[in-house]
Amino acid sequence: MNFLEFLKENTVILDGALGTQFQAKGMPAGKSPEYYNIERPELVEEIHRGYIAAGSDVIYTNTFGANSVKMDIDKVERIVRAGVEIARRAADGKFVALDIGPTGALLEPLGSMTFQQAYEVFSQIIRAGADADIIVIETMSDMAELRAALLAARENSSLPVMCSMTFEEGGRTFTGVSAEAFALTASPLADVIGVNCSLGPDKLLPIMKRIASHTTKPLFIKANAGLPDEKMRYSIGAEEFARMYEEYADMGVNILGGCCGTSPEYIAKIKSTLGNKKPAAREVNVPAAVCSASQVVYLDRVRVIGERINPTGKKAMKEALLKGDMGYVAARAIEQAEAGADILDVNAGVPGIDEKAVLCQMVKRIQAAVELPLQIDCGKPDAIEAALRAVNGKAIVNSVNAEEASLNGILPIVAKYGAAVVGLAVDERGIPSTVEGRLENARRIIERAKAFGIPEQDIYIDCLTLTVSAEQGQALNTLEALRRIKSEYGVRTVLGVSNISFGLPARGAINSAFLTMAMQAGLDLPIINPNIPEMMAAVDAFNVLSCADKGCSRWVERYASTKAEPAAAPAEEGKDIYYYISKGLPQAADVTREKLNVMQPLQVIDELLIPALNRVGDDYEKGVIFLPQLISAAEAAKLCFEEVKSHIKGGAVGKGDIVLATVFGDVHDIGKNIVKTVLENYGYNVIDLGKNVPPQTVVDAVKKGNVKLCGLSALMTTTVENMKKTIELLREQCPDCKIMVGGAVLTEEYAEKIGADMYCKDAAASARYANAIFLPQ
Amino acid sequence: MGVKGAPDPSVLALAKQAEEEVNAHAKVRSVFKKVEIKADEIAGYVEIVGAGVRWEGKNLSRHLSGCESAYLIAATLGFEMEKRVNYLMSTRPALGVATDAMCTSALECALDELCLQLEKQCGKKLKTRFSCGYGDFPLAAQKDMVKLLDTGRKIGVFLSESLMLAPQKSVTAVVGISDESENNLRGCGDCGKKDCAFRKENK
Repeated sequence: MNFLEFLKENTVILDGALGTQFQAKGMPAGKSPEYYNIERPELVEEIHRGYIAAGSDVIYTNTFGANSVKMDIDKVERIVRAGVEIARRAADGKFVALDIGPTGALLEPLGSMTFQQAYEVFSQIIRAGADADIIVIETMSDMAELRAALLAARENSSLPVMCSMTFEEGGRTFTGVSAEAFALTASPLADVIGVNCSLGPDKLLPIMKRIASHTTKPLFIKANAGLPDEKMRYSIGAEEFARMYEEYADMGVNILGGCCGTSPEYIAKIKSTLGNKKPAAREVNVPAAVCSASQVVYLDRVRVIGERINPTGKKAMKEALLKGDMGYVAARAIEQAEAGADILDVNAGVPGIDEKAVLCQMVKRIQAAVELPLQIDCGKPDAIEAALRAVNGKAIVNSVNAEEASLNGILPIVAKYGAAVVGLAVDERGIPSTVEGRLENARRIIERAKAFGIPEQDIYIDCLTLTVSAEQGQALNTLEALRRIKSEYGVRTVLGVSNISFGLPARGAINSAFLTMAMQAGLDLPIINPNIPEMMAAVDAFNVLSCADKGCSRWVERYASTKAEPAAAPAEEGKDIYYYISKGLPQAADVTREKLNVMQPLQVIDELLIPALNRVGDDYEKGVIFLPQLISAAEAAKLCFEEVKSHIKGGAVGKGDIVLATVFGDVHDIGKNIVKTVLENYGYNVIDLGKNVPPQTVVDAVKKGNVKLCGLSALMTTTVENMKKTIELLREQCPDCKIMVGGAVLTEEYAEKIGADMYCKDAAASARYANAIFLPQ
Repeated sequence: MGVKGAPDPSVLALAKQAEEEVNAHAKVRSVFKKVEIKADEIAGYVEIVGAGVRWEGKNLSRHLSGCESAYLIAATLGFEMEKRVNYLMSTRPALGVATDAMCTSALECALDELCLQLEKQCGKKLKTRFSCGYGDFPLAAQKDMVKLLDTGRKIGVFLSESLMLAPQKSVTAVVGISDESENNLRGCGDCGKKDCAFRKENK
């Protein structure tokens, strides 16, 4: 019988711990039990048989750590195959589940393993274990790794897939994945989801309840026998353990087993207590929500989608994307998060750009910087799919329209990854001028999305904003279409707001008035610039007035404390730019502004700011000031440069481009970030490639921008090797580019040995070297 | 943070803020395991009995000579703290740098506390902590530490291919259990890395 059919009608008993059993049978500490599949198959079989005899309907193969990160790649296949064969022999007609644990390495951005590397590690196991009946991915704590395993399972096998994560008592995994985010993200890719390890059934129950309210998929539990004491004796006995599972069974969790500390005795107790119970029915209304790995955004009130990561009409963003300057993209993400955006729109639409590649880079870098859910703003199916693979959570796809090509090209991808989707109420004839025309397009999109299995709460309709100065009557049509889509179809709505005022003066006033009217008509997700306080205030006020902000608590939290910031004391007579910069005080900007009245902008930079910064650098060198003060000074200098920029047409004061990267294999980037802060505040434009950067990526960025200086950072001896490789590649392909290096293990001699031009022992030294390259005097 | 001498009031204020950040975002998790060891100072190796682990090197074997058992320990401040430092580095760099430094001391304090607790537990004196990468104790031993302590599963500490721990503010160490009180406490100035920026000569 098919496992998925079986679990509909029965309480399914899984097995208990394998590791605990091996240890009880004298396996030495530090031994990987998977090798026993080859060395002592009879022992493995005996343990499996113990569980079958106790009443298990499913046994997990002894393959938890059988992967090419933890063992020699050539051994994996043989050990996995043997594991499945042994389990099959012991199973006696019961189900065999191919057990897959975490690789032990950590994926980007927290670690250095790429998604694709993890995907290949898992694919190998899944292909080798093809003779199993079920795939079970368990004990995961990182969402990126879980998704790599799930996609590998889906794309290399047609077996049913179970997956579980391991949570701490607060309902988060070690890497910060919340129970709800797990349920929302994993459910579309798995057949059964659950929780295993870490705690006893009592402590895991609240976590299971949170998961259960966010998925319609069947649920499973494999708890530990409580907590171990020093002698590794666990706190919960078999009988108590089984009794604790009754509450699980009552809430409809009908797949039950044990993890660390459990034994056949536990399984027998579960079997005798609950084995004959018919699965309890579950009533679930999964809430409308999107999420990152750690943050769920419920669409229970108006939520703001930040529009700033979009090159359309934004010259600086366009340039950043062309140069591959993802540091700029990350900075826009952080800025919008600070301003209160709930979701971030991500658009890579620059003519001639490799949209698929750039969109993925953007997604990765934004996710490393902020924890907000994302909206993938793209119409190309291949780029959308690549971006959704990189998204570490549940995203929105923006957008499909009512044309067949769009619906058929994009909706299957949305369904596969379990994203939400924006449907634009346009078709091949363009934007309908009537309300009915838009409704008809919306209806078609909703119908087709549902046919692809996309649940109604994940379909958002965009009625389209037209410029009011060009077609004045259309504003009301948009609002009416919004109202009717809400009342007739009940789906969520989204709308780009800012377009309404194009070509008019005082755009802000028009935008916020239209936003308020649209929210009243039923807009759930305005796409706006969250950096404009009036727009955010309109949304927050609407949430108060529409009772979505219960007890006005968010409003009070946000606005009660907005007393005017104590005005910084005015700049004092006799204190110069150096004084304010060296003390890290914002009055440095006031002084700069005054000087700009009597001096040329470039003169201010060359005669005041740079000398002041140089003096600060000297103070640092002499030990008069220390790192925090150097950084504060750099921050103050940044305000000065911003003043100068506002006085220069086009705003360009950059003294030159510098590429910075923490080398491949290395994720320690605080040193590189300090250097970046200091260089930027010396007026350099830093193209920050981030951490764990492959050599070719560095070379590509240098080539693309014809960059004259590149800074590389590495922490340990193990990664200096990659620094050397990067330098070699740069020498080969960009012979004109100077290279400065720094990092904990580097020394002047070492830097010379690996072929760098300059060893910089700290950020001040890198600024001095940059000045020597760009301002040779 | 490299500050020498009496710090400026602005630096003290920053340190205070950094302390608040650490209190709000760090979650100390630790794990330990008592193991039987064989430390051969002459041949220059340390063996974990029954685990098939042998570490070559003079420094560790000298440090542990005379010990028949040791604690393997690991501790971390967790990923939430790491993400917070990253965020601060982008939004308030000076506070970011200060918080990063504060994390390092917080982790050392947590390890000190753990060692005190272990000392009480075993009723014997503990030697100073010795970590992979100290002297000639190879970084590659980190693989054994992570595996023997099952750090991924127990406290969420992972090891990269280039032998880096994640979260970054994580430490593993070997702590010898000794019958005699520590009389070979080595100072900073005994270390072979003469060009270290933090070096302090012994008094």
